[in-house]
Amino acid sequence: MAEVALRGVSKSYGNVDVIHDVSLDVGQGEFVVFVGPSGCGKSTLMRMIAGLEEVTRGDVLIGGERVNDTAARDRGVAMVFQNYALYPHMSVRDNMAFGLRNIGTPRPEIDSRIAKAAEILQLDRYLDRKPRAMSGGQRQRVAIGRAIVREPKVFLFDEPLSNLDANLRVQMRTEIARLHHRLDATMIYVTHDQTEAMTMADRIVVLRAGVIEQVGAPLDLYERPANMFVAGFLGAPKINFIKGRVAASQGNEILVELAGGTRLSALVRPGTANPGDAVTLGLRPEMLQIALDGPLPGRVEVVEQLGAVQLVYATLADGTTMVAELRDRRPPAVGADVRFALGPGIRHVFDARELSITLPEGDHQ
Amino acid sequence: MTAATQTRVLPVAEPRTKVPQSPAKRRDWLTALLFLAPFLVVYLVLLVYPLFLGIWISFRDWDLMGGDYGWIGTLNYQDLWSDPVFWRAAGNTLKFAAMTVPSMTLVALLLALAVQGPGRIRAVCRSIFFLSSVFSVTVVTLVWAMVLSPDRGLIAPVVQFFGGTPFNFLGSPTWAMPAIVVTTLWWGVGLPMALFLASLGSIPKELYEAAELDHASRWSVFWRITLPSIRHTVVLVVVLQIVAQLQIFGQPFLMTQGGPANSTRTLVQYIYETSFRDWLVGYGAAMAMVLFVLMMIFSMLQLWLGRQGDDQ
Amino acid sequence: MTAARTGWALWGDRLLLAITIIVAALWLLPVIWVVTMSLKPNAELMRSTWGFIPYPFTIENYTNLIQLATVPRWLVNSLIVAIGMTLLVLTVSSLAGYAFARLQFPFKRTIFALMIAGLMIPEQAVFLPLHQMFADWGIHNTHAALVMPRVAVPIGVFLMMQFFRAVPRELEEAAELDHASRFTIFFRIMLPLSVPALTTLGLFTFIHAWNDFLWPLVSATDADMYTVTVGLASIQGNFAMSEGLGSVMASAVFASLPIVLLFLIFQRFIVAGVAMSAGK
Repeated sequence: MAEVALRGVSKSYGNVDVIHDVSLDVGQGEFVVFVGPSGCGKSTLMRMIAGLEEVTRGDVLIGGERVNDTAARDRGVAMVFQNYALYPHMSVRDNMAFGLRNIGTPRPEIDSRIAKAAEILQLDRYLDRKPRAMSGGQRQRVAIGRAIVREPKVFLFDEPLSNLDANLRVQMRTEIARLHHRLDATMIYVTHDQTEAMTMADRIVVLRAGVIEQVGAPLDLYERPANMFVAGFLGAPKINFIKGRVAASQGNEILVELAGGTRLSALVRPGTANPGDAVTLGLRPEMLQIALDGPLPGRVEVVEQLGAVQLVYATLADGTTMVAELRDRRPPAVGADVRFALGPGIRHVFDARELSITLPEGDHQ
Repeated sequence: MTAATQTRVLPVAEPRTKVPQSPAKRRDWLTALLFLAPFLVVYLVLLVYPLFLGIWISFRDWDLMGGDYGWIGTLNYQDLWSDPVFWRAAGNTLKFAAMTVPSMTLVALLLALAVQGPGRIRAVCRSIFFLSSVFSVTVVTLVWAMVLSPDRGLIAPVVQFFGGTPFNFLGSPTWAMPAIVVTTLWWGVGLPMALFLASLGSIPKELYEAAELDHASRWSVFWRITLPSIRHTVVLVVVLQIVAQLQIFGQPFLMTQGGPANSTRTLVQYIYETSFRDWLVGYGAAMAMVLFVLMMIFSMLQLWLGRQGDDQ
Repeated sequence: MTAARTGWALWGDRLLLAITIIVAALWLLPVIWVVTMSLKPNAELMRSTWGFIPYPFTIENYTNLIQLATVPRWLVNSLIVAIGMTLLVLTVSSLAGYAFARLQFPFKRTIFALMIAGLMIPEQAVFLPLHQMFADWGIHNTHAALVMPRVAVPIGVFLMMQFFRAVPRELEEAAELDHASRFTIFFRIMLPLSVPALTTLGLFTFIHAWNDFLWPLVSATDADMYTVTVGLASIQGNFAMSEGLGSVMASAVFASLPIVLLFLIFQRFIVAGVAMSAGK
């Protein structure tokens, strides 16, 4: 077990920076999720930690030691790949034993570690099967088992669940989380799926275009996104962004005027917004309600009935599409003109540079 | 927490070039060298060096026992220019290729169309048409010389049955070449047929189903769907066949010995005879170079045609 | 063309199949005829060669063949040459193919381009100089001399490279994280995975080696060193008048048996190989 640290790490191909000056500390036993859209560099960053990609600038430290020049095999990390990367010609047992044999682990030791891993992952009955004869979920478990038996300092997961169907993904999500508690190992996990990030992470690292946008605990990021990108990336259905202009400000409170004349109040950090400034309001779908006297008029376009909740998509006066998550079994009809009211919840405000100027919750008067 | 305000060029996909760790780099090069060494050695010693040695020999008066009577410049090539047997052999070779390549391509395509698809019977037919290409040239020529034999062959009795006179194909300056072409077809059609089968098999089934729903006739399905889909393979087969057929040697050498009246003597046979019967290795090497250049032109043609196809 | 056909179209299909069967039968006829002749007494063949049923029947032609020992000797030569060549080509091609597919080294592109250029060098361009070189080395009339010129085949390297490139890179990365060295990765992961590709390349090499004619013709001048292909040519010259027609046919059948058996056992790999090499 060990901590991982990145110090000003960059990766370039020619003149193109794929990773730009990334610094990050992952504590021992921590579960950190790298999340971001495809092409953001999250996999590259993980592969640099693994030693599968060279570091152009900066240092990668594992357990306090600089490993830039250490070969992948000597870094003491284990990785679970998106396509499992199981050796197709070997049985499950041989897949797990391969790494241990390569470092000359004594046979009884190998056997006992495999037995232990197989028990944890419920693979006991499949040890002599070839990967080909197994389901996607089972193969995924074998890939994890192959990592476990190595007893690595750090576990790396590269989008391990994206090849599984929806049900299995949910199941494996909890299994990996449970595994993390049981092994108390340092784990770094890459995904493009914000749900996985939200549900599994101790801390989330949001990446965009090779740069860390924000790092923090899931709920922190959800409630206090540093910018519109983070706010938009986390949460489903997606947060609603509504453009407006500061009509008046007094202390922490501002009044935002939206297209169509609607005015909504919000709390911002002192001195961040002056009347006339263009701002964007961020309203989570779950804080929207339908009320006769609501301030926000809209026309219902689509209603998605999910049983417990209903997603109502509506168009506002300026053509912005907004989604509200309602808990009302009788949602409005398509085409109906309705008014939305704002329930309790944070009204996020972003300035013209898309940075959050929302007043942090603790500072509410 | 830095916020990205400036826009950066986004790489479309995360590049995944395998980069070795710098201290390990030299070790990796050494590994690569170990993997490459056996091939490089045989390649340089047994292919590249002989090629240049061959070019060198073609400018010398050189005999079979290694007797080297010195540099004679382009004399060998000048002799070629005025050697009627060489021109005859070159003409025969081109004529043979001109007859074999189109018929081979056509027969291979027809057979592939006939035997593609499911079912045991078609599978057996596929095997039969391919089977004849695993025989060695000696066996093939033995079989066909027998089949074509005027007194003991397979064709003669059939001709007689219909009241004709048995005919000695291989003894006729007109018919010896076509007889060798037929032999070559029987021997060599397996590979191009298999190429066509692979290509036909990779045409999406949906195309045919859509055509069926559009009431396309079988004929228009072939011209509008099948043929355009396999045009790359047609080019490949034609060029491979040209290159292969220019090298023809065994069939005429064994069936007619180049006769009758030199009507089937090919370039390779003439190279062989010049070098190993007349001992004129320098002269033979010059001829080999001419053949090499000829084949190279057609190989280039394939590369060029391949590029053309990709541009579309 | 899986859609159900009806009426005329169905009959068209059946007619086509019937024609195909007839053509296939005619295609096979010469082979059957030769086998038939090889099983008839020579005296009978002097009278008539017609017929596709070996009656009167005899295996004398084959027993004579084995007693004579020249043809079996050639067969052994062919086996040594073909097996040796196959093993060498597989070794050389898979090692180099892997290097081109997955290793980094200086001048990789140049070396690769040179190898591809080698695809265009035909046998005829090098067989005379090779003959001179081997004469200098004094190795004509050995098995090695028959094998060596055919080991330097860029096409084999190319095919193996194509195959290795198609293996997911993650597999090697996983192995690397599993403490495997390059050699372990190659021998324990890549080679076992490439058995189908190796089989295909091996089959083509073997058939090619078995049927090789020009080079053994000029290199093996000693009748004891003939391969079956060259050996058969040497006894074939005057068979038409030969009284031992049955024996000639028997030796042809005998010489073809190994290759035909190989074909029948492994034909699916041949088809796969054609598809592989055609796939660019």
